[in-house]
Amino acid sequence: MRISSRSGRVDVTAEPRADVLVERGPAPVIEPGRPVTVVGRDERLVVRVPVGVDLVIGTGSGRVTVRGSLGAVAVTTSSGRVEVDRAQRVDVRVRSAGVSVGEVDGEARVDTLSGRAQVGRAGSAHLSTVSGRIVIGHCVGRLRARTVSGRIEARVDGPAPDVDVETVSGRVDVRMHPGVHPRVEVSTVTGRVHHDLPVGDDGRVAARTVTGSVWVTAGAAP
Amino acid sequence: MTAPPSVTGAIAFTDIAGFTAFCEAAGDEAAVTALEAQSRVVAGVLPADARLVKELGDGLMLWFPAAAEAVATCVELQRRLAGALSAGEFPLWVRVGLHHGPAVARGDDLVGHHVNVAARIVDLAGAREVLCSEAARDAAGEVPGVEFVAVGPAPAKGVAEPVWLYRAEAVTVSVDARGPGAGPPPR
Repeated sequence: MRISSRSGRVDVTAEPRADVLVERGPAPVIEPGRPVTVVGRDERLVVRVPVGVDLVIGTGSGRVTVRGSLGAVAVTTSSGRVEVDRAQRVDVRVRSAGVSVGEVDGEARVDTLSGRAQVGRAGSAHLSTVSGRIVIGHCVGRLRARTVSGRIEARVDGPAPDVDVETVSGRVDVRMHPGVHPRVEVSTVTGRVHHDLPVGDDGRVAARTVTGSVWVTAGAAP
Repeated sequence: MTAPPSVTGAIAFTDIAGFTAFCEAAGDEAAVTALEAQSRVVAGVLPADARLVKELGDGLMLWFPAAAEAVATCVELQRRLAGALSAGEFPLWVRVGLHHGPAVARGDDLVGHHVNVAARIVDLAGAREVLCSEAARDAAGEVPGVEFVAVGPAPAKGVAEPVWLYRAEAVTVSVDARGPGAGPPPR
């Protein structure tokens, strides 16, 4: 399903139902072989969809709220706040908005220019911010995190981590599952890379920074 | 007076994420070294019939006669830049925006609405990402080794209708370590 809006707020709720109901906004466009599409302008859109449906949303500046359990969710917005409860996969791309994602079974992908993004739990994570802040409570699998001058904090669970974090002048703080013994590769120009992990063959942790700081430690969530 | 020549093809813009911060943090000489490294990688991946239209600070404008070639090249460019980063030869991340449509030649430059759209798309791309318009995806069709992931209809400044965007990414192929024709994996 596709939803677009220039500046209006978008509220989507997934619930046990078979059809798509637009409570507020223009009628959905339904064509054989194509995703159901709702195209708004500046008005608020309120849409109810079946549980597990895939959703692609784009807005200019409206707030986006997705409640319930979805399939793959992609949201692109310039400045509206984005909230997603639960999904199989999430791909959120914002310039300056706040982002809140609850639980993601597969990959959580978050790209921001600035603003704060929070992900509760994800199967794997791909996080990128220029100057914003991204926090992920639990990442079970692979973690890729990059920030230019912002801050990324993540807790990585699981016995064989696959972690790759980079920053130019920002800070990346990764807390690992206690007892893990990964291969650790760090590099810096004039920044600081600190890790206190016992080294072994339990997966891989790579950290790079130019002048920023990267902390990889074992212990509690950030 | 004759109309200026128009060419239809794929227009790509690249941008180095955080280049300004990098200049401040690492110094101007390191910044120039990074730009030279980027130029080497781009020169090594650009097909003979494509061209570098112009440099825009740390960014580049590229033109390709065919969209499929443009998509494949940009994905390969990201792969090579990632390799250069791992090797310590290029310390930053590049964003790529790609669109397809006609443009008007003005000397060596290209101008027009579709050039502007391509420039807007790169603003929305994430680090190490190739972001394509729907027009570029449709013109490209099937690109071997590349898949398109829908990321949303994005309103772009100065463009009346939202631009549908797709991330082009390399397909991860798992290879049976026992070699081709090895049969089903053991239970």
